[in-house]
Amino acid sequence: MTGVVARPDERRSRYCPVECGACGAVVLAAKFSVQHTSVQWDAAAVRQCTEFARRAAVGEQTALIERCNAMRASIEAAAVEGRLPVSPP
Amino acid sequence: MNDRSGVRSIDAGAPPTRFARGWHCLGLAGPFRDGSPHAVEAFGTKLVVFADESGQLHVLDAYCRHMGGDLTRGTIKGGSIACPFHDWRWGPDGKCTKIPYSRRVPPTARTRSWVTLEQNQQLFVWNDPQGGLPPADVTIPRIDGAYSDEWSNWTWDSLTVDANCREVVDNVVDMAHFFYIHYAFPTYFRNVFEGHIAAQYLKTRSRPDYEPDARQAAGPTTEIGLVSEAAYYGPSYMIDNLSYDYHGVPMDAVLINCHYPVTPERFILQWGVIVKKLPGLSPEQADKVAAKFAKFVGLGFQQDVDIWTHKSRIDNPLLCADDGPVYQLRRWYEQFYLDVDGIPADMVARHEFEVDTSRAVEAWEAEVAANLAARQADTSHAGASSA
Repeated sequence: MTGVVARPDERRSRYCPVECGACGAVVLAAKFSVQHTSVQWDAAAVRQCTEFARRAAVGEQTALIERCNAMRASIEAAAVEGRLPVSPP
Repeated sequence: MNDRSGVRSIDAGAPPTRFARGWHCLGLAGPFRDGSPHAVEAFGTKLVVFADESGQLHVLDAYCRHMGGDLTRGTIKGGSIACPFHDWRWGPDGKCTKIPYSRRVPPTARTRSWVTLEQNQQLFVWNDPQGGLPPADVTIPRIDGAYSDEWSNWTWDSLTVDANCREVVDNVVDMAHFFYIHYAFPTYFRNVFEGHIAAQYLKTRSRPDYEPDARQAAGPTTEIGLVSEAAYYGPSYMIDNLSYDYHGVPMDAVLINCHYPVTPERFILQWGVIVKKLPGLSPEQADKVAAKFAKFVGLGFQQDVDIWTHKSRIDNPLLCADDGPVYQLRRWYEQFYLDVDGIPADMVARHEFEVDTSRAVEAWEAEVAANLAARQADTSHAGASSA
């Protein structure tokens, strides 16, 4: 017993799968507003991402990469096309 | 979380009963090499830090396993630390090396030695409640500026905080407190958590309503403001790469924000700054610039501490749409309190969260304008009455 409990974010996040148009990696994304974005990756998606792979190959740590631009574009497109709801919590 | 009348209750929880697994910075390495043993209260016990003949630093439990003497009050003799009580000598690996008055050292005489690391001119100890060794992939990264003549020396400061250290870690995701506590004006705020790293990308403007204040004098001074890329490497050591505008001159700085726990309800908060030397600046002048920035950072931390030592611990923060990912950060942070083989995959999976700052910027612009107008009115009033 460590006294620590991981709790879920209570804000209603309507996570939807979004597939990257560049490499096919799938993440779960949610948007509270046009500017807000929350993205949950799993290890397989991080491995599949070609932008991360290209940068990791030259010595970068993926944890220190601010974002994958192709995935961001795919998420924005999904929001614009209504496949990803933009909904306040 | 709300009771029958709709009132939200606070779940204060309780601090963890063990200390985070990971590298913890004890401070700049140099001052530990003055030929004397040093006491560090950490991880619920007392440690002794001492240098051997080659200058290599070692950390042992401070209390002598013979009769409990305090090794931090002893002396360094031939690369071992000698207890002031009966002169038992303890070597860097924790083995008893000599008992001058005895014909033989008991073969089992061994105390706890802590794994150490020197990086960036700082001393680190590895804490692992399971007794494991530090994996190479969670090591403390090298900061090139710390080894370069083009950068200043480190400043170094610390504060004792009577709160659980989760309070300082929570700052990673707390966009709005930068406005209310640190007189900054966040315009961009994004977090990425992955593996043992938790990153924060922040852009702030300066606060013209606070600028003439002494508190702001060493901080960002124009609308260009500050760009910060910060990351925790493990549970307690944050490297913050900063670019800011210093009286019209672009400055690059690295800020270390680190801590180590003393008890579950007390920690030592430490910070250090190096700045890149501007052309034409002497080393002494560069150190002064770093000291000014460190002072500005320190004033901010003092305000944090005032909040932390008066607030309630809260395990169920009530968040609004424009708050950062507090729960996701805490999920990331919990990995350091679990056995290595008990860490679920989602705890260390990559999570990105970008806060919508548009509403905050709108509200804060109005607040800044109102503060400036009020001050303008005060000044004209004062001018009128003195005339």
